[in-house]
Amino acid sequence: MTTEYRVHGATFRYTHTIGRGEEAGTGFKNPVAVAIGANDVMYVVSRSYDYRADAKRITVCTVRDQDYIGEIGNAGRLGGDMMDPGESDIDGSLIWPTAIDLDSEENLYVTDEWLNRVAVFSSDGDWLGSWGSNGSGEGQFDKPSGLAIDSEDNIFIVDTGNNRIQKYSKDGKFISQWGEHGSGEGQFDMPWGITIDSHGDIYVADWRNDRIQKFDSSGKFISSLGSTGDKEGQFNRPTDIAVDKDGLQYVADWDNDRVQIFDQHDDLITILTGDATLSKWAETKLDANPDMRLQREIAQGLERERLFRGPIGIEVDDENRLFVVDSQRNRVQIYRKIDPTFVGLYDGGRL
Amino acid sequence: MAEADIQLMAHLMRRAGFGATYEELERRAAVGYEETVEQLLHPENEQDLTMDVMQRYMHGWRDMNSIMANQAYWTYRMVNSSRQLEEKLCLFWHGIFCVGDSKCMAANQILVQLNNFRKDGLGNFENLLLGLSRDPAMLYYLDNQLSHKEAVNENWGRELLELFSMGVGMDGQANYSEDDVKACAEAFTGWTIGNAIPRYPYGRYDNSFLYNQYDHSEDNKTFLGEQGNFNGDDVVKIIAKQPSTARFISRHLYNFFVADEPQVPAWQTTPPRDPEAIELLEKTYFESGYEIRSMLRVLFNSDFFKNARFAKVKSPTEVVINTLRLRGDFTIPKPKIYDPAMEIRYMGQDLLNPPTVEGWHTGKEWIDSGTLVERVNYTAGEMGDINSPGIRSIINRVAEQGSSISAEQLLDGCLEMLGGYSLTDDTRALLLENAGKNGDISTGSDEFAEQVGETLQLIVSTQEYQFT
Repeated sequence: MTTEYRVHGATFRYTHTIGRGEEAGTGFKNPVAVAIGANDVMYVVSRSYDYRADAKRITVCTVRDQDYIGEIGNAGRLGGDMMDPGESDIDGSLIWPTAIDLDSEENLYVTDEWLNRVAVFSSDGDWLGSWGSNGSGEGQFDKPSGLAIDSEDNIFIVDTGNNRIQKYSKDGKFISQWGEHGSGEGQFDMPWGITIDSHGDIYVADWRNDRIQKFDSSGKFISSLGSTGDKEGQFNRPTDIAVDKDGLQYVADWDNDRVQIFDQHDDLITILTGDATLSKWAETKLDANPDMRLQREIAQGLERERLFRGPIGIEVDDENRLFVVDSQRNRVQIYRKIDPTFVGLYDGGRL
Repeated sequence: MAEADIQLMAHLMRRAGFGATYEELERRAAVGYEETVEQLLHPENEQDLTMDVMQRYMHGWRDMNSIMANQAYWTYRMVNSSRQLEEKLCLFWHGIFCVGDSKCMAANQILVQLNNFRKDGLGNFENLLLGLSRDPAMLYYLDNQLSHKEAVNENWGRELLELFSMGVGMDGQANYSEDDVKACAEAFTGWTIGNAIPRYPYGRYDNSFLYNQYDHSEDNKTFLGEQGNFNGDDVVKIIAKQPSTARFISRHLYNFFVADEPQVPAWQTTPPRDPEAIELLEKTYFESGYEIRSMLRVLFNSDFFKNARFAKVKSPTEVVINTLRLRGDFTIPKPKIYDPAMEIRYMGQDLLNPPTVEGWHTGKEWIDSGTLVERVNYTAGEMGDINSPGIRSIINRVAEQGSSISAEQLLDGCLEMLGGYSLTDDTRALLLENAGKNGDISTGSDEFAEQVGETLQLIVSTQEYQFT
């Protein structure tokens, strides 16, 4: 069954789901962020839990064929004890990985909220280094979360505990910053996700203020979207935002378990609540375990499995594909925006 | 403020909660004892914990999909919730209405149960029992989904009577017969759960209670002397009005909040430690319409409670949570937030995973050579950390006695800050000797903080400190 949401001339078609709950290999454990690279490669950051530190990793796979390529990161091997998250900042370790983005050479930049640093890997998984320390000065962080890289390889990092955005060069040199604690324009309360649109404008998920703030590339406030609540256009702790090349905005409305899509004028287009089907990796697991398939056949309320549970990271790629990191369900749900060639009657879509 | 008032408040907060810092004791003592009891009895008037920040950083807490997540979450609540009696009572009911993760393997489902204890634990006992009868974790734990009208499974029916409400007997007499057990179990046929969404591939989902009328026995039943086509809710109603139920709940409340009783299996033949107290609680049970809040109001305001200081051995949960509340730094998310629950486990109380449906044996059975070493090592290690905000506060308060203090002032100051502990003469002499080993103590010296920390470590290592 194909699920489509046709609204205002745009069609959002659910395509497939990738992932399943696994501490290693073909699956994710509490995924938190996703990045899309060249050749249809997808990088998924698993935050896991601190008592399953071995599952903290970056899984590399393909989007269309869901082929597993490998893993990056070595958190679980810190102390030789999978239960021990370690607190070491040794090379390659991930303690509280939170966001990921790629530079023009497809190197991976990963924020770590516990180690207060940005870790850098090559796309092959080689450790390239890190920068950052705990503090509130330039080049320091207090729980760095969202991360976005612009077309010139400048890196914007959401410094959550310091309620500011910091701009760096790709080699970790501090360039500028803006923001302070508060609820006014240009102020933040524990901000999280960040993205940059095709014009270079910057969008920040102002998490505890339940809004999205938009800035120009220098950090000048442009606009604010949303308020606290669960009604249409309201947010309950939005974690991330993505903006496609047409300017549509996709917000991971974390605690409302939904994704809201807005147009360039901040008008709500539609709301996604999840359409997950069995992924290729899930089918493989069920094929190998017929008892699990039998349990599914007699399960009641299986339709709940379609729904988002804590959508936490969101990304769009150049092909207008939308990637929703479904954290509590250990998977990524994928949609595609289809540009209309003919705009038919408005059918109300599905709100 | 009279020291006696603060010590009484310390006693109340150790029992109705998990202990309190000296500053909190002063604040509460200024409010007054009876008013504090009322505040504790009405947790709905206190702001509940806001969990969004914790869930942001502890990613397993949103759905509690493992026992370790739920244990850590609960320890966090016990330490930080201003609704102290709500959490203490949640622990009380968890120790009676046992379900174990070792069988359920669904921590999220056990969380649903604990939340019902938080919501209904102070209310009407019949309502609480009815909720328990519809709790998916409990129904699964005691196999009631396997109980059918043509093939009755007695597990739930038996434990409902034996361990959850009436007890096997009192005053030397049995409280019910085998026929009552069968009738009880038959009345609950058809009380079942849905077929859960399996854990794989995407994770756990909450299950739900289902009543299957086609699998419910409509036969006439005789239960505790009454006849009728009883369903489960009829049985609960009959149970709630039994004198044995009043006795059973009263003894449990006394054992948990006042003083250690013999273990539950002995209650049929062993009379209560304080029969008058139990009689008063039984009377309140009926006069209040089975309301737990009313029973606890009578209990906390009674002389038998106020005079029962240090009459109980601390449970492992009380040891750890009290320590963390005194330290004052178990407040923010961190990778090691799971460790305290492990300490509680090592001391013999694996929360959410009791050894059997009978729960934990309490009192002196908490202590053996292994668990005592765990207690001492843990508390001494934590209380000797002079950089934690709570210990730093104790150091400052002890220093307020003067620029130069005696060994007695150091020791008594620390005992006071911990909530009015008293030591046997022998123990006291040893601790005084250590405190005074360097003569008079200068509170302005570099060594003073260490001296306080060491004294605290010695106090928490004593036999006396194992009591509450």
